Amino acid sequence: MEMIRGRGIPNGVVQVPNLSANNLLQKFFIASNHFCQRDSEHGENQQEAKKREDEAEEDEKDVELTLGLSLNGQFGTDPRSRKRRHFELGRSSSIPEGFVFDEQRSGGGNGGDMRRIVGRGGSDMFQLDRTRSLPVVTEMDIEKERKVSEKTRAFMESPVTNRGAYLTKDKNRGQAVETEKPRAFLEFKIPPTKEGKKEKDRLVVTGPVNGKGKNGNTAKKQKNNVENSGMEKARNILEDMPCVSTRDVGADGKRVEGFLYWYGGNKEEVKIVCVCHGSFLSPAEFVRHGGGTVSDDDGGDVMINPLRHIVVKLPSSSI
Amino acid sequence: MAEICYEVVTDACPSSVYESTPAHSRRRPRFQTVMHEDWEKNCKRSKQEALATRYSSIPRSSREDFSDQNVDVSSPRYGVSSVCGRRREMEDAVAIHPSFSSPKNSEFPQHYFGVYDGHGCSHVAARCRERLHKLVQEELSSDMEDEEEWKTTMERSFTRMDKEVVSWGDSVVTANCKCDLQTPACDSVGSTAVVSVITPDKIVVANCGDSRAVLCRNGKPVPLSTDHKPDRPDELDRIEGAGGRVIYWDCPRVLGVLAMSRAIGDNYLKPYVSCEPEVTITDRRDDDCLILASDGLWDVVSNETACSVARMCLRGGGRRQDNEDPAISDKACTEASVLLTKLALARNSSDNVSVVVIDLRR
Repeated sequence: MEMIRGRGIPNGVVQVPNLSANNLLQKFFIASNHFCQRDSEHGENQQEAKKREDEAEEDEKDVELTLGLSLNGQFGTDPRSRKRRHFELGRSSSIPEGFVFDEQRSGGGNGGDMRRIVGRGGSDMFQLDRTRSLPVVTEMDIEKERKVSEKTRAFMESPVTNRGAYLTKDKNRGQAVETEKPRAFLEFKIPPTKEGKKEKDRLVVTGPVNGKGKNGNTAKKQKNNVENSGMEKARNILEDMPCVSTRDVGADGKRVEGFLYWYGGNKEEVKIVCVCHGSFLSPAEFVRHGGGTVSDDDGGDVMINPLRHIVVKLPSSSI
Repeated sequence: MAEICYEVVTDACPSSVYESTPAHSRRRPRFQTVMHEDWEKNCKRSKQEALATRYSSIPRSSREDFSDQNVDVSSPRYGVSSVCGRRREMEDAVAIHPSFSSPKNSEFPQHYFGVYDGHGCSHVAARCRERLHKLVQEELSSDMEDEEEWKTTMERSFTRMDKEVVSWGDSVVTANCKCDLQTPACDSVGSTAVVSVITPDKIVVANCGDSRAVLCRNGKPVPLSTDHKPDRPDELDRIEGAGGRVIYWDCPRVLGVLAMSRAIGDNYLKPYVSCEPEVTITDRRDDDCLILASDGLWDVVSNETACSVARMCLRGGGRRQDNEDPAISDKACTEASVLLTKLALARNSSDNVSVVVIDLRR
């Protein structure tokens, strides 16, 4: 809204040098346009006051234009409904423009120009009528419901009314500018919404991953605690033997599994039964059986702390 | 989740001469405690398994006490593990009856161990668990020194069990099992049976079906039973001689239906599927243990592997312990049976797994 209003001001300024070149009738026409804009900008009371001023101006026009018979007929219908008044306004505005151009130009070409100008003037006045006829409440509703669309309409309407009196080239330029600006506005708005959506998707993706990781860690810790407490309690005969496997995958691409058959107080007394052969192994033998690397350093690691290469599985996965 | 059932009967202290009644009454609370603990740990246990556990506790009260010299003989050390595995229904059954018979001509009792693997439904295996040891006891005569006598006794027991199962299916109207005893669906229900009677000097094994009994002697497996598969040459000849056919449907099957050539029950497939057991009698020497198990174990674990695992468990798995304590020995048997069961499941066995490990060391 503010930007549109700001843009409106330079258009008004641009019109100032052209005023001196036009006749009094054109001055009145432009003044009416300014009043319309002000009405839309200000409140209800101000609008009513300005409407009264417009009516006074209309009376002046009628008095000055007593030459034609049709004007006399319209003058007779003044006291009737407002709709007819709008109709009169349309007609009165179109004829003075034709009159002006007749004086400036001559010949058949002038006739063609008059017709074209008459059509354009009608369209301009028609838009003005629409603006006036819309109730204030309706305008407010439109603003509330569709802010974007209303902004676009306001932006498009003001240049048209301001440049209505100028030559064809000016109108074409105005239209081009109008078409470009709304597109830029729309393009400017779309990217942030897309970016926001992408960011949200990323957040959603990361959430469960973190949760799963935490749950897994917690489960493993609990398993270790249970194992330790079980061993301390001299191991119940009905307790299931936990399943274990090598941490790293062997050279053949398979992971060796086994059962923790016995876990004594001293870590050296651990016994593991492998599934593939059913043989009883110590942790170091189990790691080597699983295809542990043969290099000296790794071998040394296995000998020093083989339990680091063995992982205890969850009880659900064993059965 | 898989349904796990562990039947553990431990003899907390060695029996003594003329044990007093109060001491005897003290054992029952301990046993009940174990039962309660076992029940809590296996809340998904089926009613049949509960009945089996309760039933297996009865013979203990009728046990006779002997002198210290006969501790090894009077209280056999064994471990049992029976799990549903990856099947939907638990159709296996295990029967343990220590001192189930006392011959007149001998001072030492005989012990009964049986593993029954049902198919089609579980009521035939359950019936075998409840009745087969009684039929064997009835068929036993006072003079059992001859091997032919043992074979005759076992064959008659199995035949009576088979007839009883067939007639029982026709007469009983109400039942709790899945097939609801609806004929002809009931006629396709049967069970394997591998039975072992352990005497002080002999091991008698009677097998009917594809369960197996393996003796572990000096670390080497000695099969005491042979699987009754339809593609076995003599079984194939017998079936085709009787007018039946063996069709290969994922594996050799009698009439394309049953994957074993002998079973108790299966009235629909008679006379192609026989209930006659194969009986073997083995003299006892320095044996390590005896393993009775269903095909859920033997399909994925070889005799050598099972024998080495059980032998290692009975020796404590490398631990230092006093092997003379019977309680620890019972625990070792249980650990051996549990370890074999977990080994079968870890090797992706797709059937019920039932394992009985009996310590035969003197």
